[in-house]
Amino acid sequence: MDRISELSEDILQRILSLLSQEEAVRTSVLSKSWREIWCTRPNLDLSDTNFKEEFLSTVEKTLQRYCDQRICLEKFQLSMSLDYSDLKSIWFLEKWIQALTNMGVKEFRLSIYSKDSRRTTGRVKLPSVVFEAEFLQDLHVEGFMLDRTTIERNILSKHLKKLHLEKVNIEDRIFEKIITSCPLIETLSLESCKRLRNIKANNLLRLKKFSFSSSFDEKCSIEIHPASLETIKIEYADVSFPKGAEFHSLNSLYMERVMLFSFDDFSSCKFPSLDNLVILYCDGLDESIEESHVFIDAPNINTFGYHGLLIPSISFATTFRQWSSTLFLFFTDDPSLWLLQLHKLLESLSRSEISLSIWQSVSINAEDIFKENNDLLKLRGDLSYFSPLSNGLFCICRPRTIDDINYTDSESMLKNLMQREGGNQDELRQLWLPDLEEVSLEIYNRNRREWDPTSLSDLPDYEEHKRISTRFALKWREN
Amino acid sequence: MAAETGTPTTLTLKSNDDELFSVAESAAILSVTIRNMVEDGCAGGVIPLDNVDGKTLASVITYMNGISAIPADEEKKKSYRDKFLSDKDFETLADMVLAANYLNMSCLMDAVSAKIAQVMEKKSVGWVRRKFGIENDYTPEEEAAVKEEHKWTFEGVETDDDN
Repeated sequence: MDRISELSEDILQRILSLLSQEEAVRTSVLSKSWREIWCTRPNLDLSDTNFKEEFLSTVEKTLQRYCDQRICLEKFQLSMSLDYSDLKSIWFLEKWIQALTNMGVKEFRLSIYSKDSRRTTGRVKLPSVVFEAEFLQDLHVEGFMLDRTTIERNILSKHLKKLHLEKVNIEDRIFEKIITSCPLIETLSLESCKRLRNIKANNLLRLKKFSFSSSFDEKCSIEIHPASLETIKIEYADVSFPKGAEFHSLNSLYMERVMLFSFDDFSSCKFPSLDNLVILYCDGLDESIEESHVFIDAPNINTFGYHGLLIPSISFATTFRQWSSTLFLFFTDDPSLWLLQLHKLLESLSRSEISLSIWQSVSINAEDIFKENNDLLKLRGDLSYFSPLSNGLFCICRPRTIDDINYTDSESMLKNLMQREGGNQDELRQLWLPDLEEVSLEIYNRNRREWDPTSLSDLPDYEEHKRISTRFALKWREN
Repeated sequence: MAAETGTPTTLTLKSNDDELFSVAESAAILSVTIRNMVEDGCAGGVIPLDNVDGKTLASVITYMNGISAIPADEEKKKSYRDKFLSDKDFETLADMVLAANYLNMSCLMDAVSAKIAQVMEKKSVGWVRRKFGIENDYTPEEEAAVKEEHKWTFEGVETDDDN
């Protein structure tokens, strides 16, 4: 029996509202009673790539019907190509937005793009009527310019909870005016905006999520520390953390290519709820000089990720639970200094389960050659590196597994590890070799998703494109 | 009583085909319908669920147990829901959406509705008619006209063998 035919109009509407516009419109072919059902969805998503030449008239007709029949419209998405010289479309756009405002739409998503890829977006001014939408809770604007005219009238959207600006041309004071007028914002996300140089959002006392991304040629300074913040994600910006600030709700902090204004100030901040910390290629942090030491007061940290060209000087406050750190480091030309710094870092992270990948950036195919974990170590690439580097590494850490070995290198790797006599017996090697009790080879079983013990003679023949993963399990003598 | 001794309270649910199921009260009250019955004092005996069959109820209880075992982490709950629904066919989903509606479980309702919407994607008109039990009352000419009007929505859609 077709149970779903028993579904009430309510359930059908709910399912229909989850379909894409295209799927929803297509249901009009099902039967006469379905012909108009899609036209009463509480959400509209209209894009000129679907309606082509008839786009303007379709939007016009559709909105008119919602208006005339007083159909509830909660969410409206519009995506169209628009150049600032296209006055006719701009006229329509303003008219539609006015209509939507009157209809009490809660969520707007307005995206414009330029047909001509050589032209930059951000030249069409966002109609000021957008911010007169009193019931607006979620606003997503893409490709517009927001200038004086955008905010010339009163900003009435006091209920705004989410604001997303993307590829938008906006000056500091315009941005400031908007966020000071919308104090209830909980999610603020800024992506590839132009001309924005300073962000201070400390008045947003309900801000939970903040994300910012930019490119290397648009430098922006960010100062943001509402205590309500739960997640921060920043890419390409200068960031200042206020001295001694307590981020008591912050759960996740992600910083990529961020320049910290002051390491001391950052080190003085408290992150009592921080679960996840990611630091990727942040300048200055990886210079292991006294001034750039970073102390992280995050007693409840769960995962810490770091990628960098040099080894950072980082330490953590006493932690209260098991946590893990994942490090991606580049091996430099000066192994002795490098190993010294690595030793220091591993020691300061020793309360966590460390997984370390070491990349060699000398060759063009910059392959990673090591992945280490007090538990796990991955090795890949040209194994001529292996011997000297492993000697150094095994002097400072004792990985339980070596992972991600180039399959064809398994044999030479194993011999290297097991070789007790004969050549290649430099002094460094003697420092770790006696402690290595046992090395065993394991192969990954993709069906059972487990590692099985194997031996060199049992390994299947190498075939290109066939993915075989092997690893070594190492057993060290307890000292 | 049980709550005082620290043992979790268990409820007995009865499907419309008279199958009995035991489920922890803490998991079962994800259903507002069941919660109301418990609050009205039905918890002692058997709670009859007249609109849900045994097969569907078993599935819903699996979901109740699974989701209530996950701590407050929306990401993890979402991935549990996705996994839970991943192998369900359309008929099962239809049964579940009805059950979720009757049991007043909004999180399951939302997830199943979204899954149904996803299953409908790119499906032929005939497929949707069969699955939803919709009778085609268009004349061939009318149907062709509606199709023509919304031609763009038919790009990449499965075609019907039966029309």
